[in-house]
Amino acid sequence: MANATPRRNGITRQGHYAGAISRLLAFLVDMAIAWGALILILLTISIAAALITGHAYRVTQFRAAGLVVTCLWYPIYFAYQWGLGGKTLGMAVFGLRVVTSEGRPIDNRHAWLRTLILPISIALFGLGLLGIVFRVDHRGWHDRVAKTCVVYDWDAFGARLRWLARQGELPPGAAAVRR
Amino acid sequence: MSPSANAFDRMAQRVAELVVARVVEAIDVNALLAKVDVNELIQRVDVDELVAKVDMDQLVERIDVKHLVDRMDPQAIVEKIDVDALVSRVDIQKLVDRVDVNELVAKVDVNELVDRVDIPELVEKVDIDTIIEKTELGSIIARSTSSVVSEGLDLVRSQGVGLDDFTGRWVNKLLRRKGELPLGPPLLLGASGELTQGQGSVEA
Repeated sequence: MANATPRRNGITRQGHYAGAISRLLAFLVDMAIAWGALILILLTISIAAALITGHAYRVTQFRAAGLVVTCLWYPIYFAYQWGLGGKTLGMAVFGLRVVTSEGRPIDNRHAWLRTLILPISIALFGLGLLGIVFRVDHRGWHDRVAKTCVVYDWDAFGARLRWLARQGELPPGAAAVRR
Repeated sequence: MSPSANAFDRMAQRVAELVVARVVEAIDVNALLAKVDVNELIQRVDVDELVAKVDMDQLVERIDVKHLVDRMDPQAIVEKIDVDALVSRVDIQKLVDRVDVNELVAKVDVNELVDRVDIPELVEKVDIDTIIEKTELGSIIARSTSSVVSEGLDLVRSQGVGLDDFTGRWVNKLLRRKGELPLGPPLLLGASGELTQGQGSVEA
């Protein structure tokens, strides 16, 4: 009976270092969201400009401006969300959160430092990201410089209860099969 | 009485004393006692009359009760008691009927009682899985918290954690990591768990 407790089953993961796959997937989701949002922003700007000036504009006509906006947008997207609650939308989907290496909530300084070092971690052939895979605490260069780490932040135990509750609502035979 | 009569009396008295002394010396008291039937002698004694003459208060006062109690072996006495037989003669129902349960309960300090209970240990013994599955609580939780979004999130996150564990195990094998590894930042683990298992041994 004691083995049925969540901690012994390893399903209470809140506060544990998050693994590489969850972080990678969260990052990809964030990149997709950020990209979609950027397209939306640029589209809005071009429509607004067209309405104001009466001329139709295409983004490709202003590559330099587009590049600047892009270079500003991505850091803002990550740093703002990390500074606000320690997580981005993608991280929220995968139940991840950035905290300090001791486990405290991060502030804006941590968030911006992490954001600025992240491109360097990626740019040098991904060398800065190897720590996420091979280190025990799954920290990349940007984590170590900003003195942060990424942990699981989702209520795994609650998820387990919901799953069990759904099992209880199924007919006995079906529940046994699904188990 | 004439002087000659007095002289005779003194002589007789003297002779009698000598004779008695010789007879007493000659008697073997032990042999005499051996011939006495003590039981028959005791039967002739009127014990009630004898006891009636005894001053019991004075007798009891003379007894050193403390010394008497010290010499007693309570364990030996208790062992001789047939407790089962004793208990079987007790009318438990009657005994219970005489107990004022309300008064008894009123005397119980519930707070102190609760303080003595090891709540975490008690909770650990509860099979929450079974309770959730077999009671209405399960359906209540399911209805109140379950939605397509939360189910989807649970699924996505569980898959992510599963893949994390898989890669973590392989990396630990590759790097030959053994023993207990830190699971998370010290402040977070202090609040929610203990540093007991390494990533390589954590169950999915």
